[in-house]
Amino acid sequence: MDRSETSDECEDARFAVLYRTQFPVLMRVAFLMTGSNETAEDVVQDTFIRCRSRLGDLEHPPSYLRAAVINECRSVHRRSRRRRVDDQVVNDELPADLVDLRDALGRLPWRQRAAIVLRYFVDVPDREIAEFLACRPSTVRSLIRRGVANLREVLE
Amino acid sequence: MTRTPIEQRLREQLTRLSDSAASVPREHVPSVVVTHRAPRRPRRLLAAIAVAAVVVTTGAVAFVALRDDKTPNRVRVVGSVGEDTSAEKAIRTAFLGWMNAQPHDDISEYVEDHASILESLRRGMAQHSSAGLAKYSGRVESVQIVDATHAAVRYTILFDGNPSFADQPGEAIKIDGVWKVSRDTVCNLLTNGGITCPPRSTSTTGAGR
Repeated sequence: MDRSETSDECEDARFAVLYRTQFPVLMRVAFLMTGSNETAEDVVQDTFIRCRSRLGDLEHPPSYLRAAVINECRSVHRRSRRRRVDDQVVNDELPADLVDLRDALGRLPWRQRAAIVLRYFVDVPDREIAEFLACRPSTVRSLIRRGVANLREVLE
Repeated sequence: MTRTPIEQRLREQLTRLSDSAASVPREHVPSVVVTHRAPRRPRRLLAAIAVAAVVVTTGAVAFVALRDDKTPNRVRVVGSVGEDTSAEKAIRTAFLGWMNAQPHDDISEYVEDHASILESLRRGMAQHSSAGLAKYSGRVESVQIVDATHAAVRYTILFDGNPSFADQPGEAIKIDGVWKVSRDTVCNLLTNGGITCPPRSTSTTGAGR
């Protein structure tokens, strides 16, 4: 076995670990962003495939993947606005309160939804959310405040 | 960070909602990495193919190398669950040693390249009181051996016995014959506190050395 083969195998193993460790959490993030398991799975798989060649050069691949997944969710969101609402996959197994939350999240403007998910699910600091959304931290706080206000009804 | 009751409720509800994400219950991580995606087919046909694949592969050896497969849409099986109990035990020991270390920076035995992230770890510790720090502990949820030197681990950080960071993804790597918590695992956790680890030095990159 030559050195390049060993290196390839090492890269493959690292990618496999990254895939196994990050897939579930990215799946959750994508689900919260899209409201659909099927779409979330497509988004996460596509992101891994698209980013694979770059992951070895990154300082922090999980953050990069997370950002890529959320960006892909935004693309899906743009495309889906042209579709009928009843095209969405309905998960009948969800309890009613979670259906309400999922639907309320889906009605939020995209930036509010991203800020809410990043802050309250992923625990990302405002400064990093601001970098991701290309805005100031004060704007992030405003997005979050409005997002929480919009979700208040289903949370109470 | 101060959290209002509504924020706390939102956090809990998002976690619950994400738990129901999928077709992907927590431990049901696909055991294959699709390196080149097949063109979309009707979903019923895919389901039929999946059922047929399960039937055909039941009882087969878990580690299958398809490296020489020249088909364009190849799928590579990379591992299976819990085949090596002694490795699993060693991995659990490393993770528990790291999460339950007192003081929390006494991790040299358990964490890969610990010296390079010690300063970052101490910055994380500085965000808490010593009384608060003493209340942190952890438990290992699952261990999945990927290959001879890598494993995927899920763990939960507890505060005062209650989950604080539940079901977190982590990685164990075997270095010089010893299983350790990967540097990335610790650094990922630190990002929750807004702390970024320094880049790896080139001499410490890689696993299984």
